[in-house]
This record gives sequence, C-alpha cells and structure tokens, in this order.
Amino acid sequence: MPPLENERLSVLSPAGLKMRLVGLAERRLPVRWLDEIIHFVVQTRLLFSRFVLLLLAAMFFFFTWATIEQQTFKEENAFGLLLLQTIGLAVILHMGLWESEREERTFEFLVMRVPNVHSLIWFKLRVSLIWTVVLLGPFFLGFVWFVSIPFGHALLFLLFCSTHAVFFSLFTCIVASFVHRALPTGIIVVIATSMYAGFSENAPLPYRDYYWTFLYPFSEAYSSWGTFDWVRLIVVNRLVEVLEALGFYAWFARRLSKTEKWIG
Amino acid sequence: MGLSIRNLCKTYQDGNEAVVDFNWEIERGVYGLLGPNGAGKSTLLEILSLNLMPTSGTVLWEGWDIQKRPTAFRRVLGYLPQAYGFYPELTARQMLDYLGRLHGLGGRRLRKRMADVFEILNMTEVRNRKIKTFSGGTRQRLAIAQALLHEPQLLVIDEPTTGLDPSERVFFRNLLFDLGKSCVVLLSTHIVKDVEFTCHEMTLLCGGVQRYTGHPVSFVQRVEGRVFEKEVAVADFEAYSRERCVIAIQEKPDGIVVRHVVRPGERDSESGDPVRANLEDAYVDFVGERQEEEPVAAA
Repeated sequence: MPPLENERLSVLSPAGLKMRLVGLAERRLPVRWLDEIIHFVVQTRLLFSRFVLLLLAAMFFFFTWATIEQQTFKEENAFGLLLLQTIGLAVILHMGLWESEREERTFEFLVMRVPNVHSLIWFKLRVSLIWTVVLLGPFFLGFVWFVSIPFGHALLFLLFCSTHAVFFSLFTCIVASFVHRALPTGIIVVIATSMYAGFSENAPLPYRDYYWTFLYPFSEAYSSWGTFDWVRLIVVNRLVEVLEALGFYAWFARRLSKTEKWIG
Repeated sequence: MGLSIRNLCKTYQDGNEAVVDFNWEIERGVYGLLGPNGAGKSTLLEILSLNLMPTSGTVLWEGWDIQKRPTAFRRVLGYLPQAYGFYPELTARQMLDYLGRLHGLGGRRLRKRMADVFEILNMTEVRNRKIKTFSGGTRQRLAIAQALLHEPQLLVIDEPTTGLDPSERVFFRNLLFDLGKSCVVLLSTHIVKDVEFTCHEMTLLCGGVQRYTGHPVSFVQRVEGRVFEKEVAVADFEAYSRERCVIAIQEKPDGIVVRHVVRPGERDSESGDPVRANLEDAYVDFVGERQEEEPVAAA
C-alpha cells in the first residue's frame, strides 16, 4: 500500500500502525521484555512459511469438515480428533524447523554462538511448542463447548494433548535430523506414526495400556474411573510418554552435537 | 592476544588427510592462509571455529586449549564460513538481533553493537530490507557484520572476497586491514591479491601440508629476477606457452604478451624482458612446480 499523503491518515495504514505500535513498545516496555517479544516475532516469522500456513489452513478445514460430517458429539470421538490434530500440528510446525539450517547452511552461524546444543534447541523449540499449544486451543475449546465435555475430562484431554505435542514435536525433529527436507520429514513421521498405531492397537502386547501412546483415558474398560487402578494407569502412561520424549530429546541433542555431519 | 596452533592433524573417516602437522603462532594483525582449492584451508578454519574436531594436535588461545574451554573461546571468536546462509525472509536487523541473542547479547548493548556494525559496513540504509533482496556484496557485508557483532578478539574469515566485484573486494581488503589493528584476523583465501594487500604474514597450504610460513615479501623474493614478459605472435603462442610456467597473458594488437616464471638458471634468449615479481608469480610458481618439495621456512 503506498504511503498516504495526509500524515494524520497515514497512521491508519498497516505500515503506519506497525510503526506506531513498535514505537510505543520501544518507549513503554522494559528492554528485556522487548527482546523476548522481538525474538518471539522473529521465530514466528521463520516458523510460518507460506507452505506451513497452507498446510495449517488445509488441516483446520479438514478437521472442521470431519467434525461436522461425522457429527462428533461423543467424548471418545472428540478425543480421537483432538489427538489427530495435536499430531498434525506438531508435525506441520516442526518438520521444517531445521530445514533452513541444513539446506541453506545457517547452522554454522547458530552453533558457533551457543555454549551447547541444548541452548540452541531451547532457543528454537520454545516458540514452536507455544504455537502448537496455542493453535490447538480453538479446536479444544470448540469441542469442550459443543460436545459438552466435563471440565475434569477436558483438563485430562489437555494434559494428554500437551504431552503428545512435545512427544511428536521431538519425534519430528529426530526424523528431520536424518531427512533434510520438510515435506519428506512430515510424510515419514505420519507413515511411522500410522504404522506404530496400527501395530500396537492390534498386537497382543502385555500391559499395553501402561505404555500405549494413543490411550483413551475414559474407556469403558475402566468403568470405575477415578479408582486407584485408573489413576495409576494414567500416571504411568503419561510418565512413560514423558520419558520417551526425554529420550527423543537426548537423541536429537546428540545428533545436533555431531556438527561434522550437519555442516557436511 | 595470540593463537597458537601446534601439530594439528585432521584425517577424515575416508582416510583423506586434510591437514598434516600444522603449526603456526599468530598475534594481533592480519594473517593469510593461502592455498589452492582442496588444500585444507576450510578444514583448518572449521577446526579453529570448533565445528570440527582435530584428529590430533592442540589449538591454544592465550595459552589455554580451545577444545577444553569451547564456551570461553566462542565468546572471543568471530567466524565467517566459506559457505553460509541467512534466513531470506528476515531483515538484516532481525537477523543480527536473532544471532546476537543466541550469543547472549541483549538489550541496549545489542542495539548499540548492531548500530555500530551497520555503520562500519555501510549498511545503515539497508538494515530494514529483507535479506532475499540483497546483492552478493551486501550479503557478504552482513556475514562480516554477524562475525563482528560481539566484538571478537579473533576473526576467522574463509574466502570473503570470492565472487565479489572489484570495488567490493577493495572495501573488504581495507576493512580487514583496519580490523587487524585491534584484533587477530585469520584470512583464508585462494585470491593471492587479498593476501598481498592485507597480510603481514602468510602460510601456504598445499594438500594439507604447510609449505611456507613467513612474510609475503620474503615469499616474493623467491622468484625475484625470474619473472619475464615476452610479446609473441598469436601463431607462436601455443608452442611458447607449452614450455613455460605462464602466469598471465594479455592480448595486444600485434600479438600476445606472456608473463612467465623460469626455473633458476634457465633464462634463455627467448625469455623476454625481466619484470618486477609479485605474490601471484611466486604463488603460481610454487604451487605449480614445487608441490613435492619439503616444507620451507621464511628467509
């Protein structure tokens, strides 16, 4: 948009509003806060490429359509869809997180500045994880509202979805450390997840519910939910996923620390 | 303020010996690392920037081992790799802010440093433009800017002038010369003129082996009196140049002027007129003819 000739009106243009907001923030906010906001904005800019925005739009459209089409008014179905959305968001937002570092050789600039790879992972991952949870919000609130999920169940769903988000984000990062490009990374993660889900659902594995990633917390099998057995199952199941996520993190940090392979 | 490289070796997993027993003591000033493509220059610099682990040997900065104190060393190191990339969608200011924060800078200090480096590199006007709109020279300026952002004491720069136009190349040479007054600058290049105009000491690397270390002028003296220029007819050029170590040719209306180096004691009536030697003559003579010789020290 060309700048408006009238100076008073020019503040209403997007560029003018942006300048006013930036000026206001620079004057009013403490420098430390301003730094955090700038970092968040820059990392967000890097995260949401056009490709990612397109995929997110497609995903939101698809799940909205699926919810209406299937008339998902049951809690169990709602949880299934939330689970899929969490996985979808984690994969879409993280499959290209390290692509630029590998393909355009930004990695050397980054790794030579940090005391260790953990700082680098935290530096890049914290914004993408925040966005994963934030973008899950509209769906989550939608289901809570329309399906009338009880508050306690909703909180437990949120716990499951949050740990899933971390788990699948790190899993996607692991795959991305082997595969350079974003799209193949996403495809591999989706295929691997589908294969694991299919196998673990049908195979007669002992004590499966204690370590099954896709556990539904309110199955009819636990008719007396709220009992000690049920609490133990939920706690152990989540604990196992958190430990698996930590394992993925350690593996990913180890992959990153092998700088020789990253810089070729 | 000094860097000491001792008995440094790097052998890759495929058995390729990229650097063999490299030794160098450098202090404040600009130092040139010269060598043909594949000589091991970038490998050496990757080791100095802690991106590669040496197979053996040590690198000391002010007496302490950089491998044992990597975090402390990263604080004093500014590094510009040969191949690098920026995030094209970010502006120059956003990119420096991003890298500065990774380095632990923040607040007013970061803003001051960003303003300073943009000023030094004449980038103040373009600081809010997206990187994808930058020319090769401006991208290279930004790359230098990120290396200078945290006021490094050691600046390691890998082939900074490759692909730049002559005016940008002169700008970078002058900049490096100025930077050498306040910190240690290690410049790796295969462009001989960069070393000739900026460095007060150089080392020549061929096939991973250190062949010469000393002042560029001393290196030039090795070919002094052996560089000649001869104008030959176009028809005779091929036969003439086949027998000689040709440094440069220049087309003239009447023929071709051939600049060449002769071996000691091999001057003949066909050699032409003696001319003043430069670093390029010495380099081409050394790399082209004497790669198999034992390493030599400065005169």
